[in-house]
Amino acid sequence: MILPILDQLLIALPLALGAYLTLSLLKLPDFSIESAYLFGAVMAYLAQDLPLPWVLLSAGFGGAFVGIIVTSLNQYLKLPFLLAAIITNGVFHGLTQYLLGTSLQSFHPLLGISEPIFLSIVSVGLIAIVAILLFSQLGYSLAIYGHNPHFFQHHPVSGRYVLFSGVLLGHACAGIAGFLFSLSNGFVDLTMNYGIILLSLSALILGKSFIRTNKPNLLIPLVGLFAYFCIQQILLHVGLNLKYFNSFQALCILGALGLFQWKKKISIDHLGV
Amino acid sequence: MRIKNLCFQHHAKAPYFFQNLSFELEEGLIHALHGKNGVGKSILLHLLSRQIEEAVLMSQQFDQTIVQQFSFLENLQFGSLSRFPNPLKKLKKHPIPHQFTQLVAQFNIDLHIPVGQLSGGQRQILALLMKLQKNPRLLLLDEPTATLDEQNAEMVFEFLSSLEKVTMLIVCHDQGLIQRYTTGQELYLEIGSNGVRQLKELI
Repeated sequence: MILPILDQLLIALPLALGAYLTLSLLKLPDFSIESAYLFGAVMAYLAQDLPLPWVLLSAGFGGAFVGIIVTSLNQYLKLPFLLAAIITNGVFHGLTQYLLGTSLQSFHPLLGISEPIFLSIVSVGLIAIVAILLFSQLGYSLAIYGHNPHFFQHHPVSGRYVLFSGVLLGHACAGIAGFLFSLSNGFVDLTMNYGIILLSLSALILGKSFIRTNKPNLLIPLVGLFAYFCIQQILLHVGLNLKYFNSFQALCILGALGLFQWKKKISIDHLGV
Repeated sequence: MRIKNLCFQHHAKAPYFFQNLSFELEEGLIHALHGKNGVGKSILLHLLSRQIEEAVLMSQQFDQTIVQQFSFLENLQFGSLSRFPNPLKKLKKHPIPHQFTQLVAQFNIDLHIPVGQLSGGQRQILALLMKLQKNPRLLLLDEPTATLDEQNAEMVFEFLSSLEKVTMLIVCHDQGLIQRYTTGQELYLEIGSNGVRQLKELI
């Protein structure tokens, strides 16, 4: 049971890290993370003949590009973030279809090393990058933005810079997660991003239930994701059909948030949603 | 500190709101700005904060300038953030400037609990300390005690009066506080016959 958990954990870890930056720290209703996940995979597919580091960079760039679009819509056209994310999702759905040609393409880049080792290297690298960020001035600024976006109107700190940095890095991580998923499954699929936001929210809510802090904390996405896959494996073992899993997740999130509101002593935010 | 020929229009075709407004503030003292509601006291403070490089404006909504979920010390660290926070550098380790260490102790502030749990006066003092980290020459305060009760308002003015070498211009409707703590001029802003705002010094 532990091996499938670890396998899935390594694939989804960049997504949880990205979602932690945008949904949890910046507290944005960032549905466009689904597009970043898919577009990262698409960019990796387009670059699959290049050396592996370039494929990885392309995936990150693909995700970050989605981040640039959604944040620009929010910052320069003054659209609320949720609306900007919905529009971005629409635009990138069409763009993805155009770039892929069909709704499904096989994906087999030349790895050169075993897949688990590659997944581990990517995960450790991303954890190191995000850990450095979280303890830095910028990491704390992301948390400030989430708690009090007005702060930046009263202090000579650029809120736009903070927002762009957080969303770009978060979406780049999501793009890399999309690439890892495609690598592991051997295809890029137009619908592979469905339910990604639910997975992210569930993992973050679980993480926040275990680790209660307002400060940036890397353990929240890590512990949350691990707990998420443990619960998933247990449910699969007791016979829950995988096709009902998204509905089950949605109900669990609803139940958890309802419980947190009902028991007012427990304070948990709504992760931007 | 001399302000000379300050002019302001809301837009190019609008009549002058301020025209050649000049006045002087003696350095290191607490000055008061009076005037009826809507006369333009806040506009004047905003203009001064933009025109004078070393001036800092503290708006009424001081709670927007702090982060309630973090501690007093952490908020002070946030006050020293640069325009573009560094993704590789940590926050400043010793956030309380040396000259304020005793002041903070004097107001019995718990430095480690989330500031949302502190009193309004203590939060206002924090907001002021965050602004003071930029070493302003002129501190402009727009109704700093508007949302505070008597005791907290007194605490904030006590804090302000203990600051040295900072010139202050304060808008405050509590005449008792102004009379007790003003050490400089009392200015009165009014609308002149042509609609242009004028400043008078109250004696």
